[in-house]
Amino acid sequence: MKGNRIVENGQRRLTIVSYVVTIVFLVLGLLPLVWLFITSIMDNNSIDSFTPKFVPKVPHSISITLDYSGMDNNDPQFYEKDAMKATWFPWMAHMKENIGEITVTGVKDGHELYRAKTIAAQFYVGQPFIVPTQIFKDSIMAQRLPQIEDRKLSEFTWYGQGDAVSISGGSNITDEPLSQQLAYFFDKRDILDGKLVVLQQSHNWWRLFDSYLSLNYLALQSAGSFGFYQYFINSFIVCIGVIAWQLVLGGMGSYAMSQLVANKKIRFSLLMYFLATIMIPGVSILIPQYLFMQKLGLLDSLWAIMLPHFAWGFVMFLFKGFFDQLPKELLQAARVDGASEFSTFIRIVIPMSIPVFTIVAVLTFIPVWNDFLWPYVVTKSQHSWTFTVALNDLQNSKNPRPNWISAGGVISMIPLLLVFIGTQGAIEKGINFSGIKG
Amino acid sequence: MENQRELQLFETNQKRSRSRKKIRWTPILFLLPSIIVFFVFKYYPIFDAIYISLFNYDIINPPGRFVGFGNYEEFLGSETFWIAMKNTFIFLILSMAIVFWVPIVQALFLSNIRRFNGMYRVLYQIPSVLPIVAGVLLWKWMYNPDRGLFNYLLGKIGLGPYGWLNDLHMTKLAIVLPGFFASGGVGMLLYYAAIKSISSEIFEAAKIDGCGPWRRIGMIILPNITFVILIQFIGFMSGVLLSFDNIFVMTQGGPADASLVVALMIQKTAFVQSRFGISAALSFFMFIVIVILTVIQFRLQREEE
Repeated sequence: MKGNRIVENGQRRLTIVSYVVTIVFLVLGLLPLVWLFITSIMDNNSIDSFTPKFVPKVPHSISITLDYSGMDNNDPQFYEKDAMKATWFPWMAHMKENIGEITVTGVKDGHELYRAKTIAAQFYVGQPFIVPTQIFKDSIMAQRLPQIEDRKLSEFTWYGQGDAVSISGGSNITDEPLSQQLAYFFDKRDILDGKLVVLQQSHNWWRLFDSYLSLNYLALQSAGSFGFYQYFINSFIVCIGVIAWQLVLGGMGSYAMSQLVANKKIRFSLLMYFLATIMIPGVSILIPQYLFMQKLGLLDSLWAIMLPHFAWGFVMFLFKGFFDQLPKELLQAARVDGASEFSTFIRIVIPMSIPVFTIVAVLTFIPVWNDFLWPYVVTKSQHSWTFTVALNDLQNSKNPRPNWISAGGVISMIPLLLVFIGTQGAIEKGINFSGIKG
Repeated sequence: MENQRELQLFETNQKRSRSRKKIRWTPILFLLPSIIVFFVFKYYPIFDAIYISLFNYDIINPPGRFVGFGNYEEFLGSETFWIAMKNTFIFLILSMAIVFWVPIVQALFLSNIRRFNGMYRVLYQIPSVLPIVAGVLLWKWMYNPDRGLFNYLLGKIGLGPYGWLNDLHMTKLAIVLPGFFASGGVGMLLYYAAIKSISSEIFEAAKIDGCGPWRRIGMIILPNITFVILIQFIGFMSGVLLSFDNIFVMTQGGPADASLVVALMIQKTAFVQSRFGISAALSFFMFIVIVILTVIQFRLQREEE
């Protein structure tokens, strides 16, 4: 015998195989998530390419200065239109070039007149209706300008008589192919009212994450001022509502069933009343529930998504399993001291039952957050969509961009990830005392 | 001692007070919200589903014409229903072959690892954290015949190109496959807990009898967790029978009904074709199937206890 542990024949090999198998499964499980993240920051050009790219390229930042010296016009609208022409037309013509942002600065008589900035998040959201074709005309931009302002697709700041700027003579156009192409485009098309004096090119790392910003502009009109993020907020509200109900009223009901109902027969029939509903699958009561919500006039509201989740037999079962084990002496002692049932529940039961409340909260959060069929059926207008419905709609839209969908996917998993990592211990404990899967 | 006497005293007191006022309101108040909610959102709808299923339901003028079991006869006689049943059966077989065993194997090997065990358990949870809809959309993008990752990678080793979701014969496999990658999750933790709860005495006895570590997997661990596997299997079956989200987002039942299942039929007949009666009949059919499975599960669980 060597040492105090005996190493058996084959133990070493089993250990090595165990590590290998575990790591292989972990890598297989995590690879799709890595790919999800990579596609979410992939530039639009690589996303469209026929051979998948694995390393995202940092997009180009273009900065343009236009000189209006000697022009009489003082209408900001006129200049904004010119800035938009200098932004949207060349971008559309060079959509394959991985442009990340275009900044246009207007200068008049040595002073800054305006500044307009458009980022890829805004351009790709707006492109299908602002510049759908390769026709670049002044009249088109005049028509589309209200839409750009309305959907906040470009930031335009008017200075009038701003800081003094000096433009040195000579060539101010960067010597890179893209800059040269853009300069040639302006030269040939002759669409601008101002005179192109500077065209510079650089890189901005932040533009890699523009797909996350795109979500902000995507549903701006239909969903509200948070854009696509409104859907995540909706999902969150639904989850909070359901969890609150389960913890407070579900907990109180199970506690009463477990500790306050003395008659065994009544207690058993109550348990069966709650537990039997586990057998009723959601899809089986889809139609009656839908018709019921219609009767209540709740269709198309967050209430309709929330309410059916209040009745979960599994939660009552989990709670009861825990409350049955509470020490009876302690509860009796509280009653001897003259505490009412309600304050016994608040002061004694809840502090002792934090683990079960955690588990119920987590096990409620996951399925409600993931829920798709019910919100899909019960909502029509976009302001009450949850993110699952919105993501499904995004893939069916006319111009689905995989990097937008992936960005939505990454964001949708963050809350669950935090919850899981934060409560892993509680979940494992819950598995031990519930015995069945949630 | 004194405590006990006090308790007895209290109990007799309570008994007296209970007989004085017959109804105790607190438990009723505590239970009432749950009882109402369960009635309104579970019991009423399932009876309503049965009721609707007996009518040629008219949504504007409910309930419409009474047809008795006509709706049941109609769906049992329709070809689509049997296609959906056949598809469900194939999904079940495929899921068992590709997904069901994975968490068992993961837990078996994980239980042999001592170092960083907690970390591995957390890492195993991460893939299952991605919401189904988001996961399906990611896979749909990877399956893209022209621009997807799979055809690209398989092309590198000289395979393909495959049609994946557009291919009648591959759709089902393509829908089940993501489950293999995201199958860890709570199920794995459950098996792990079951393995860890096997008493160490059994292991020691086996060791002394000369049963090596590999043989112990087959002779001790697996027989001891058979029950958990069985319970999980029944839950897994009802999960596959009821699966809607992944199929709907991936293919909507297509191409040409190749991935149509009963859950999808329920949604389609009601909300696309507006035939609520037939949809309710299908709903009730699903309910019966799940009831049978759950009763079996409960029976088994009670036997074990």
